[in-house]
Amino acid sequence: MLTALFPQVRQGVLAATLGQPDKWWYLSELAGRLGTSPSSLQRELSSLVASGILVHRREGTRAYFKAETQSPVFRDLQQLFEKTAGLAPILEQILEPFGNKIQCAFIYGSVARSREQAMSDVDVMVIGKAGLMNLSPALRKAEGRLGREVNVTVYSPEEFEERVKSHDHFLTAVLRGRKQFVKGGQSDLDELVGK
Amino acid sequence: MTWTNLLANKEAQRHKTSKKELDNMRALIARDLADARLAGLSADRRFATAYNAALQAANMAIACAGYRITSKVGHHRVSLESTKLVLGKPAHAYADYFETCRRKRNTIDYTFSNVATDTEAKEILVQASRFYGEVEDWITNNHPSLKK
Repeated sequence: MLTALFPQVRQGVLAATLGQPDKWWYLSELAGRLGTSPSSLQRELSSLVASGILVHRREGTRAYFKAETQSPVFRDLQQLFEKTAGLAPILEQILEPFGNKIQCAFIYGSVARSREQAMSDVDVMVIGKAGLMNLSPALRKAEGRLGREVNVTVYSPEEFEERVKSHDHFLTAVLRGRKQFVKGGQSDLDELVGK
Repeated sequence: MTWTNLLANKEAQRHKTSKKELDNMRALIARDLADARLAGLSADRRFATAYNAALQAANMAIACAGYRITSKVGHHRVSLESTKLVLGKPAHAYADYFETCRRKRNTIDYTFSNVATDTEAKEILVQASRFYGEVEDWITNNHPSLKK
């Protein structure tokens, strides 16, 4: 849905800044998060600052950006992104307290492929020792903020490794598809399957 | 959610249970918890069977409180949520957890196969057994004439 409204880079900038509105983002930190170069963000950032959607400050040679929370459209934009591209920051926040009990977690399916409808469920895979019982209260809160259902599939690290090695049909398809990591990254996933 | 609302919306009815009715439910739970341990069954089937044991445990508590959830669309969700009214705070985490399990069980029974992982099937067996234990403890303390 967002792709119809905003170009890819602007979506990424807005999702990150509106998802964590109190955070000052260092330019290269933001670029790293979006998997792009700082220079490719400059024009978008200037435009968003000029329109009053972001604010900017400079410390020495470093430029920092954050959401302009006083903007009259801040809350509306934030809600739009929370319900779409803001999924990852919200899920990162709710999974963060589980620490090492979660080795890796990612969004997969239509949302990860950016092919979701407004009400698509969010499919999340969690690999670790945090069971559904512990995750469920946090998931309910996330669903309240997102306005859509979050479906979680939980694997212990042992079962995950075993299923990947036995070429489990579902896992093979998920791992081949696009993923948005909310805990860990591709290297953690590779480590879990002994790559 | 309150019993007054549930009765007004015809989502629940007044019900007087009996030791015999509860013993039948206990037998059903014992069967499902035993079946959910069978290694030869798929993770999906073990998961759905343990879920059914948890649902029956919820229905036992509701029956002891003097109600029965009306069998219509969404009644599993109402049963699980209603345990908060009967058992209070200790039931909240279970209600959230079994609500997550309810959705997964619906997918298992009506939409896809290979939905539950072995990790999830083992966890729900443990949690359903614990929840049933808590319900029996609550019955013993609050409705001793209906205890096991």
